[in-house]
Amino acid sequence: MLDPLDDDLEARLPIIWLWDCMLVPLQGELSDGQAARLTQDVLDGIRQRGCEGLIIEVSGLWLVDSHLCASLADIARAARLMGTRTMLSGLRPEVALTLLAMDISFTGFETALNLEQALEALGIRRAHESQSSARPTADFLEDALHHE
Amino acid sequence: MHVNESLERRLFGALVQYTSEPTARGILQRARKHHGRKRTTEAYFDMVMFGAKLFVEDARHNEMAESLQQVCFGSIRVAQGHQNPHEVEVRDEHSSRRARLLVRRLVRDAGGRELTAVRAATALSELTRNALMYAGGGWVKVEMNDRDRRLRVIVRDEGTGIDDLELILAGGYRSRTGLGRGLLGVRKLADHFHIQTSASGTTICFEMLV
Repeated sequence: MLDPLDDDLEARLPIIWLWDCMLVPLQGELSDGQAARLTQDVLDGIRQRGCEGLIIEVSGLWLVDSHLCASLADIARAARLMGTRTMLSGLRPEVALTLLAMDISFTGFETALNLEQALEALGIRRAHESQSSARPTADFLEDALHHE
Repeated sequence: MHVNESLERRLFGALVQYTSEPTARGILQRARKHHGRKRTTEAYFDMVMFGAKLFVEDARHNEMAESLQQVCFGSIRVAQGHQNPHEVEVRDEHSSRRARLLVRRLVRDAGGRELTAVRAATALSELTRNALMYAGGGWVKVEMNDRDRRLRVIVRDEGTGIDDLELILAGGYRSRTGLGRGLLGVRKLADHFHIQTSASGTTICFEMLV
């Protein structure tokens, strides 16, 4: 029987281009093979297209051990040598606390609370105010309070 | 009942059937020092078993447990404290991942916090990586003690052992691949950490309160 996990381990990780920035969203866990291939893909991308900023989005990672941490730091250091700034965004609290407890420090990249802040730090921001449901809800609450 | 010299002497007699005399002495000393705040004979017995299991082959564990229980309690306890020992053989990243997910599930099932689950799985990840990298793989045994909500993970390999262990644990050694950093990390994450290494293999055990 085919085990879907085998395919997961071999899957190539997606790289998303946003203008001159590169976004790498990570999910679940990362195998060593995937990490090695990612390093290669990112650096190839930087060389071919030029890249202002690299964002590694880790809100989907539930486990980061010392080895993965070192792999990510290697990517950031290599990117830095090629003139690219790396942001790490969305590290989960449990993962951050675990790394802290292990006395492992993330060096070589800047960090951001979430993807929006990472983008903003790289100079990408939305052109106009949101028209989504966030405001109406607040208005509705305000109205409700005033009527009382 | 307190831990007294007579009990220790009798336990020593039982232990040397399974280990060498210096080892038995070490196990008892350690157990006396670390059998917890409750200071009950049960806690002491658990610590003795904990230490002894590391030095005795798996096949003799039950026999040894019965013999030590006879000494401690005068009878054989029907229920063992540790339930559902799970074993995973680790030969590649896939099996190592399975072991991590198992640990996470056990912690969650025991009602543990997500942080504990992540800490336990991360510690295990460091150990299985070392086993894969330096010994070609190993065996992971995971036990959840429901009575005192204690997770115990044992990772055993048959590699050539860890040279410079003391230097590594003192923090004065960093390999290129990060063996030292991983081991130190596990020790910092765990509530209890024990390592035994020789030219015929390494056994590392850690415990976490869930």
